[in-house]
Amino acid sequence: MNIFRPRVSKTIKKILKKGSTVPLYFITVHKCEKLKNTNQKYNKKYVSYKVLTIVFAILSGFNSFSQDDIFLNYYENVNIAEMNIVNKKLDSAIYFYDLAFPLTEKPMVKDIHNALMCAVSIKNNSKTQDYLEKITLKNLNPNYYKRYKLTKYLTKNQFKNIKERYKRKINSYVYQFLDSLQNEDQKIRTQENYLKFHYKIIATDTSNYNCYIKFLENNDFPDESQTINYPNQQRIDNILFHHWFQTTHWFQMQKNNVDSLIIKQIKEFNIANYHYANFYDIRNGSFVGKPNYGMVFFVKYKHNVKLLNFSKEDLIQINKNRKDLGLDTRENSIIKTSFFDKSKIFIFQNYGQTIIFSGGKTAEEQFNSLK
Amino acid sequence: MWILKGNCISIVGYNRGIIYNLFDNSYYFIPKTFAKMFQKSAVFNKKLQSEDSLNFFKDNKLIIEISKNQIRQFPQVTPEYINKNDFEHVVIEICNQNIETIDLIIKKISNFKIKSIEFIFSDNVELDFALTIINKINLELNIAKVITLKYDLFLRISEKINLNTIDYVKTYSCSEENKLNLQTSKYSYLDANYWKMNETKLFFNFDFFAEAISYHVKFNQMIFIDKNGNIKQNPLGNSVCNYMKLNKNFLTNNIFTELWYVSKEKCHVCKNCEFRYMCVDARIPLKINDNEYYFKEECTYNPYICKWQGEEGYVPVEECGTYGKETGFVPDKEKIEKLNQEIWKE
Repeated sequence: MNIFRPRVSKTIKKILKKGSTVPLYFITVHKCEKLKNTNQKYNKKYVSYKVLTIVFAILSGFNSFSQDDIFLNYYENVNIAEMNIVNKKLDSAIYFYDLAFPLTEKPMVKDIHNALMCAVSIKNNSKTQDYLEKITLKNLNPNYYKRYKLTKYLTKNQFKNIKERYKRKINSYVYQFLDSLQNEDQKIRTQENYLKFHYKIIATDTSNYNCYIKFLENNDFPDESQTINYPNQQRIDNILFHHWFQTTHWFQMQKNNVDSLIIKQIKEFNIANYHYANFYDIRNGSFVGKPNYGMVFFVKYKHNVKLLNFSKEDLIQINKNRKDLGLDTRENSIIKTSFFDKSKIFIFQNYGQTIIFSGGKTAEEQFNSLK
Repeated sequence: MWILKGNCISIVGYNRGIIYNLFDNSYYFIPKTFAKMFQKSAVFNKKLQSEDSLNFFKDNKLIIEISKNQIRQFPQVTPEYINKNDFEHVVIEICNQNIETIDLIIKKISNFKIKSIEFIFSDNVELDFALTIINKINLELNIAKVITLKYDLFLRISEKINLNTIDYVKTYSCSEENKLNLQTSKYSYLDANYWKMNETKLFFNFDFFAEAISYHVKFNQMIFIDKNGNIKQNPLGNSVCNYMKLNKNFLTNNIFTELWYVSKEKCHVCKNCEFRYMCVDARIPLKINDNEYYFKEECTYNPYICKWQGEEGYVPVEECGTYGKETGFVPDKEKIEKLNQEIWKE
C-alpha cells in the first residue's frame, strides 16, 4: 500500500497540472478522506475509492483538456468547406467536412446537411449514405427528407425509423417543455401588449427564463437532436434566448453565468456558435454601439438594403472575437450569406444576418443615419 | 500529445520537407526528419520535440494537442482527385484557318466534357478573324476560356470588345514596360523563359494538390490541336490523328493518353523535390520505362541543395549526379553531401 500511495499522488499531480479535473478530484478525494477519518484507511472500500479517483480523473482529464482546440478545429474545417461550396468546389468541401465530423459525436445539423447536399450533387453514393446516417441522429421532421428529395436514398425501414425518432422527440419531455415556453413567449407578444402593456411581456420573459434555468438544474442542455426540426430552421428555444438577451435579464444572466454556460455548450456541440454570437450582439447592440461579433451584415428598409460597415480597427477586433468563437471572418461570412441566400439547397447561418426596419419615420431616419 | 492537423500534409524532399496547409494554401519548410515523421504518422514524436520545434508548429497552427484516445478523431485524409471530364485542357492553335474549320473543331470537341479550353493565336492572325473567333467561343462554349495572343493584337481586341468573359489572357511579344501592367490574376505575359520554373510560379491549392499527387498537372488529360487540325499530346509531340477522327475511343488509347498518367513521382529529380505538388512544369517528360521519366531540360531549382538558379551556392542538378538515357538521373549522394556542407555551413 505504501508503494501504491505515492504513485497515486504523482499521477494526480500530473493530471492537476493539466488543470481540468480539479472539481472531480476534490469530490472523490473528499470521500476518501472521510473514509480515512473513520479508520478504514486500508480497507477495500478506501482502496476502491482511490482507484476510482484515478480512473475518473484520467478519463475526464483526457477527454476535456483539448476541447477548445477541437471545437475550433471543427469550425475551421467547416468554414473552409463552406467557402468551397461558395466556389462550387464540392469535392473539396466534402474533404473538409470529413476532417471536421470525426472531431465530435455531434456534428452540427447545418454542416451535415450541407455535406449531404454536396454528396448528392456530385452523386457520391457512399458519402450520401454516410451523411444520411449522421443526419438521422438529429431526429428531423420526416418532411425534410421529402423536401430535399432524399427519400430515394432511404429504405422503407430507414424512413420508418426516421418517423419514429421524430415522433419520440416531439413527444419527449424536453421538447414539450421548450415548446410550451415558446408558445407562451409568442402568445404574449401581441401588438397591444407591445404598445400598452410591455410589463406583461417582461413578466412572461422573466417567468420563462426562471423556468428554463430550473430546468437546466435537472436536465442536460438540450442539443440539436432535441430542438431542431429542419436544418434551415432555428432551435425551438432560440426565440426565448433571443428575447432574454434583448430584454432586461442582463443581471440575472450574469448571476446564472449564462454566457459561459452557452459557450460551454458550443464547445460540446450542443448549440451552434453563431447562435451565441447573435445573442451577444443583440444584447450589446447589433448595429448601434460596438457589436462584438458583427453578426448583422445588412439592414433593410422597404426595398433598400445597406451593408453595415465598421472602421478598420473595429473590424480587426470583430474578426478576432469571431475567430475565438470559431466563426469565419466577417468578410467571408458576407460572401457566404449572399451565396447561401440564393442557394436552394445549401444552408448558412439561419438567422440574424439582416435586420429589417419596419414602421414609420423613425425607422426611415434610423436607416438613413446608418453609414 | 501533439498531432498534425488533418488539413496539413507533409511532403518529403531530398534535403528538406514541406508542410502544406490546405486551410489557407500556405506552406512551411521543415527539416526532413520532421517531414518523414509526419508522413509516417500524424503524431508528433516526443523524441523530436523541443521547445523551438513545438513553438514553430504551434505558432503556425499546424499541430493540435489531443489525448491518446482522441487519435481516431483526427483521420489523415489525402485529397482525392475525382476525374469528371474527358479532357482537362484543350489547346487549339489559331492561324487564319478557314472559319468553317474552327467551327467543325469546336463542334467536334463539344461532344466531350472539357474543363478549360485555350486558343493560341499565332502572330500573323488578323484582327477581324480574332474578333470573330472570340465572339464565337463566347457564344458557343460555356467552359473556362483562356486565350494566348500577341500583345499588340490583345490591345487592339481590348479596344473593340470586352474580354470579361475570357477567364485568362496570356500575351507574348510584350515590352518590359507593359509586362508590369499584365501581372494580375487574369492577365500574364509569356517570354522566352516562360517554361522555366521560378519561386513565383509555384502554385498551391486544394484542387491543384489533389491532381498533382497522381498526375502531371500540365499534361493530365490535355490535347493540342495544331493549325492543320492534327491532334497531339503536346505542342512538340507527334500527330496522333486528325481532329475529324477524334472520338471517345481515344480516351482509352495508350499512345494518345500516355502523358496523362505521368505523375511527378515517376519523374527523375522531380520525385526528390519538395515542390513537386506545387509546380506547373511545362517540360515534356521523356520515357525511360513505364514507371520512370526524365526531362531533357534542367529545372531551375536544384532540390538536392535547395537552391534556385541565381541564388548564391547554386549548382545545376547535373553536378549532383549523372544523367543517362537508360538510367535517367542518378544522384551522387557523397557529392551532394559535400555540396550541402559547403553551402549550408554556419
